[in-house]
Amino acid sequence: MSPSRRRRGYADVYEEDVRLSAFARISRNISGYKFPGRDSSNADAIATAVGDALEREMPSAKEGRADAACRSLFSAPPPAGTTVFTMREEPVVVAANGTDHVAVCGIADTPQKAYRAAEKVEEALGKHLSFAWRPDIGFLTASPSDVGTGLKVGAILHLEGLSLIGEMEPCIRGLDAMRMRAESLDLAGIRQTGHIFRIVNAVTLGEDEQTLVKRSARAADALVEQEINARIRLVEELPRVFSDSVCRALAILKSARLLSAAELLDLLSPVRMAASMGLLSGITADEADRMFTSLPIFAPEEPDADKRDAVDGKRADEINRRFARVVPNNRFIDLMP
Amino acid sequence: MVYYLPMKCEICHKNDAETVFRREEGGKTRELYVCRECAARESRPRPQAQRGGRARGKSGSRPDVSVTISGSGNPPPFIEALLSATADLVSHMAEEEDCDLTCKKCGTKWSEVEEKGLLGCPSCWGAFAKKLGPRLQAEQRRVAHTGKSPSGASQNRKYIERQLQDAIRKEDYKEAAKLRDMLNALDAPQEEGGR
Repeated sequence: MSPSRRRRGYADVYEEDVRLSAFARISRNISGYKFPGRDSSNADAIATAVGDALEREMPSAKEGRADAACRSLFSAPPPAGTTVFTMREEPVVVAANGTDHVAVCGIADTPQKAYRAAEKVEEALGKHLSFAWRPDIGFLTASPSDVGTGLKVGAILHLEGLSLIGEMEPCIRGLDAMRMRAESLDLAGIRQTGHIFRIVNAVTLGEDEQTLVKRSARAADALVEQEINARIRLVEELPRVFSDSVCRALAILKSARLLSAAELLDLLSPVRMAASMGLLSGITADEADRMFTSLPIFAPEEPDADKRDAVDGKRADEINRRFARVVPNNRFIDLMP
Repeated sequence: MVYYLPMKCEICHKNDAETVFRREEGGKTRELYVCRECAARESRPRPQAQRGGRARGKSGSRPDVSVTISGSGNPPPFIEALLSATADLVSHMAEEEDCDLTCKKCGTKWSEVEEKGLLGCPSCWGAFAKKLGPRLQAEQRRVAHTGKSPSGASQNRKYIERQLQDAIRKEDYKEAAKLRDMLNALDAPQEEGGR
């Protein structure tokens, strides 16, 4: 049995199913230039400077589109005009001309690894670019909430169990006491993302990078533990709540004729939890994960009502087909009261 | 007379009372402790009100406005106008202080920063220091940086200078111009910007 696996009765709870990924984003601005939100006339020059610096230090860096996971590192979709560089050596994405001139985003399974990867690239860039900095308040960023270290570090967690038993509020208060914050994840411009949360430091000034990284890791670990306990509690003590949530979601996913992206995310959340606990047949946890990040499904909401119905209808048809054969398995049925 | 009043405005009940306002009600004079906005509003000429007035104001951190209204006949028109103008001036004084705050490097106004939540350039951090200080204190809880510094700055300069010499030797003037600009940017004070 994997050390991260907990078995309770008929259900398996894996730490990996709760902890989706960890990230670190380092924001920097080039000294002497207006921030991108104020003046976009230097965008090309800045993107070129960043690209040249990367080319010298990270030969495999190439300009391209960031995938969904990388996009999730931004608190909002990157502004138009953002240039993204990806590289083979490091699990890092560099975005030029987003909110700040440079955002170095590392992705890994722990905040420590994500920060180490991002820091390596940031230091490489620092050899060629002069970052705006003041000794009293550190690295100068466009947003006052990033000034100082310019570091946002944390983890992306699926907290369906805690949400289902109504314990997210105390957790958010606990995070606040740790100077951390739980933000709903933004996928393709949709903020309600089915109880997937980004746990991130609320403070960037007055504490060094290592302190922020360690605290983020500690907060993520504590929440993962709480979520595992919540899932176990759901199975052992609240099976009716658990089964109702999953069966209700399955029923809608199989038969809805119109499905908005936000509603779909909310419905997929309990299904993903049940699939990851090995309680559904016809869908694996990996397939549920792919659906969460599958961009064709999560196209942004259509503003025009008629077109929106058409998009929602097409989405519902696709989901009906995908879920036609998904049913609770025998282990799930044994759990039911 | 100047009053210093650590209490809420008796008209709007929101802002701190900064001045006293005397109003005649039913033959009796009532003193109201009010904010600047309400004082200005109340002291504007009203067609049916009989009033005489006096308003004084001066810039500074301490409130010093006192408006007196008595029912002893209409004041001369120039007093009426002066009263209104002065009260307006006083009421907008604090507002103007905030709105006029502009970063000289990039032209960003403080009102824009408040609206968008984003600064315009590195120099804004100096231009809006008075406003940002309390905000950082509230949001970040600490206001002194203790993390990394750009340690590669001096190495960076040497590196660029070497690259510049190489570029000149190779007669790659386009590259040389780019490197020269980078050196100029390094020479500029770190917090300054607005190119």
